[in-house]
Amino acid sequence: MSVKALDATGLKCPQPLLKMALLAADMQRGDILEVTADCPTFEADVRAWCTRLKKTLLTVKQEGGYRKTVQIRF
Amino acid sequence: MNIRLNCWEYFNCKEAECPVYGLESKRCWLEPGTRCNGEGQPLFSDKVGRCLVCEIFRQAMDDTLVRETIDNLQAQPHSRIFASEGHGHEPAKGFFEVFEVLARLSKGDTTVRIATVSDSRLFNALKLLLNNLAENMQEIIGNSHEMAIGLCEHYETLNRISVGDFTARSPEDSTNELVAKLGALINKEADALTSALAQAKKAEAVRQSQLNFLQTLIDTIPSPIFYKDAAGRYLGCNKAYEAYVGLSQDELAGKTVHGLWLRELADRYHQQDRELFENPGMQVYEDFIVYHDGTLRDVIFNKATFQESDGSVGGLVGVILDITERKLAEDALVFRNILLSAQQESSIDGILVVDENANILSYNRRFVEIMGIPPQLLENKDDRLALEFVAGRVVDPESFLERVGYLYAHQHETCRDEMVLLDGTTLDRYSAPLHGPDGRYYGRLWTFRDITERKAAEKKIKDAYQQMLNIVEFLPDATFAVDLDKRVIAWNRAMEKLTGVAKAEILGKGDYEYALPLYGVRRPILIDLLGKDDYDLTPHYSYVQKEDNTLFTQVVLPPLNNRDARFVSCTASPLFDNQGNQVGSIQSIRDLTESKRIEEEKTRLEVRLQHSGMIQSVMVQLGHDLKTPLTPLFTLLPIISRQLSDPKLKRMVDICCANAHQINELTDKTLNFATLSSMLSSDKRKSIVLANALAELLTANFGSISCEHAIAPDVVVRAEPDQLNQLFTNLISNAVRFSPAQGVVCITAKQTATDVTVAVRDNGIGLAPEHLERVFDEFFKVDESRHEPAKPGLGLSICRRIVHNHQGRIWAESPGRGKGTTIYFTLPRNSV
Repeated sequence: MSVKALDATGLKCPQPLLKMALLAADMQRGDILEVTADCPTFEADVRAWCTRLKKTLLTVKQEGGYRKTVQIRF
Repeated sequence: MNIRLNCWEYFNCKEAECPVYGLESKRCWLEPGTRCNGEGQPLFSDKVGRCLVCEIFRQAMDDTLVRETIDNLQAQPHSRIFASEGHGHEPAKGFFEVFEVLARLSKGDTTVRIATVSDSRLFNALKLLLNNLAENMQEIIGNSHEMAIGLCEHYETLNRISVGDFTARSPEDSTNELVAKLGALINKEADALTSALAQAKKAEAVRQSQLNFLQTLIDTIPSPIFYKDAAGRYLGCNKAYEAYVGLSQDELAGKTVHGLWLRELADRYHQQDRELFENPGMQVYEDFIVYHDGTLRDVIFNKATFQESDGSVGGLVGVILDITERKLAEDALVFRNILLSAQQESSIDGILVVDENANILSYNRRFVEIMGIPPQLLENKDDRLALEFVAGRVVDPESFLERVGYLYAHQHETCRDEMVLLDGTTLDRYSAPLHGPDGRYYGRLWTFRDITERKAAEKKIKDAYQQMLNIVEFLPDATFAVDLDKRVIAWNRAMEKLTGVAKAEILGKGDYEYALPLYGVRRPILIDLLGKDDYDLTPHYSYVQKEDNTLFTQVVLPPLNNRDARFVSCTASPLFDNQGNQVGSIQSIRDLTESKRIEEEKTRLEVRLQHSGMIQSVMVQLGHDLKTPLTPLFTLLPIISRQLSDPKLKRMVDICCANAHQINELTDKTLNFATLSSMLSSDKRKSIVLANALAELLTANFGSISCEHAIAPDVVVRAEPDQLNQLFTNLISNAVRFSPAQGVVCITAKQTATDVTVAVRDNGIGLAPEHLERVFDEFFKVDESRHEPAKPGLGLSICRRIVHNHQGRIWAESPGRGKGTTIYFTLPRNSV
């Protein structure tokens, strides 16, 4: 099991999602992806993404302003 | 919440020239000419963007604060910004609201909306515009999000398919039509791919099974098979080839001939391969190959190119045929043919070989010579012409042709016979079919041997042999001869007489048949010892004497086939032909029984004579010596007896007297016997009429026993009268003594030209067979328990002596105990 981090700060949605999708291609089952972004719709997008693509959203950490870090398990 | 924050306090700013520095009531975001971050902001528009994100502004941004701020702005009509724009606080408030919305929109927050309740129609319109903008933006962003997530989904599906997960499918239910259609398209492609893949897999399985079949097929072929690509690299081979090169198929793959063989050999193979590639098609040539164990093998290469789908030469397939064994067999065959033809030519026999169609296969020079056939007749290979020619030369052409025809018709027959040619030549003809190991008929072999000379020689020998047989036939000694196989070839008359076996019964018989009539068993006899150094059969003979080639022995033939035991001397000798080769053996047997018996009898008599002479002198002496002391006993004992009054003593003396008489009688008889034994002369013999002599004697008293004779009055013997009396007395007394109380003794006589045989028969106790001889022995008594001191057992001995003195014989016959006894004796007949 490995943990990958993606810094998507400054990117407007849905760019963080598209970046995540690229990384997701290399993720194995059980791997964890940690994404940090400051787009205001990021959390909602991540939740929708997780639901639609059947991933597990582990945590959402508020880091001030719109900046958030989420953990997704594949 | 009315928290009043001063920016110079919050940021710890030291800009003293800033118009808001140190002022409590100032609102920095409303003050032009501020010097935030060391920079001057002379115009309001220079700073408003920065102020909207400043913490001081954000802290103050509640309605109350805004209201207060705007109120403050209205209280300062000299404010440059509003002075220039000519508006009250209403526009400033609206302005900030608009700014705030714009700022949030610029961050991407499209959820922001403003209430359009301003007095200013301008601001209301502006706010409405902003709200519309935010709504539109929200829709656009929402759409773009939907597209983005849809893309993510499709991306993942494609990614999964790309790594081999053909079950991956995209959702087709996106609200975005394009994304939904893209999903459907991807799924359709995935379905097509899956189906194509399944078909490909199926095809692959079929191909693999075909490959396996092909490999198994070529593996099953015992000849080595290999295939190479157009560059001469091995692609594969079968098991036989693996065994040939000692490499597995995997080890072989990719190698060239140079990787397998030594350079010189590899160059040759490579050259052949290149020629084949230059001239595609078939290539067959003979070569040799080094087997992996290092041995050289003669092989035939069968190679052919194969084409790729585009028609180009794809490589070659080669099959190796190992002909090493065949070559060896061919060499051996050539050698055998040479050998056979040499044998055929060197044979003294004429040889002709014909095939199953009666065509001449081969013949030798000798055949041509014997038959005198012109060679051109044989050259056309037709046996019929040769047959015709030969038929013209034989004495009996019809039976000759008939015989040949029969043999050709009966393929399995062999034949050996003789044929006589017109010129007198006799041929030994032999014919045998030629069969292969499988029983197939290949033809017939004829051999012809010129036996004319041999036949003539045989005839001579036969004549000489007959002469010899005739000589043997009439030899006085029993003689027989055997050939080298120990079969009887001669058996003469004396032999027939000795053995009782007729010549016709035994001629030609072997297996020691000749020992049977001699010894009763089949076993080697003297004739079989010839030529042997060790007489391991000597247990049958007490000795075997050898002189040159001849053996002598003497042996007793056991009683057999109504024949008494015979004592014979045997002589065995080999028979030789004129070249000195042994051709048989001969044995003659001379009957020595009679001469041996006579010799033995003579020896026995001499011994007995000597013995009885001695006994006689002892007995005469003893008789005389006993008589003298007995005389006073006879005279004195009766006187003593008369004078005795005691009856007990008297009886004792009488017994003594009787015993003295017994001793006297015994002495008399002994003296009598001794006297008779010494009597050899016949001076006192007279002619005596037997009947008269007997009649006188029978007047004497023999008690209750009736004694009668039936002797003819003309029977006259020549004998000594006293001895004849004694003889009859003894015999009759004996007969009476051993007969029952009312017994009958019968005396008869028979006469021949020279002898008279007298029989004295009683019906008494008889004699056991084993006693018939012994009763004549001195002092022999049949029943020892029968103690009769007065009968010393000399009666019959005296009789025998008397008869012997008259050159007669005496013997006893009895059917057995209790059945009477007859004593016979012979006396010489009166010669007058």
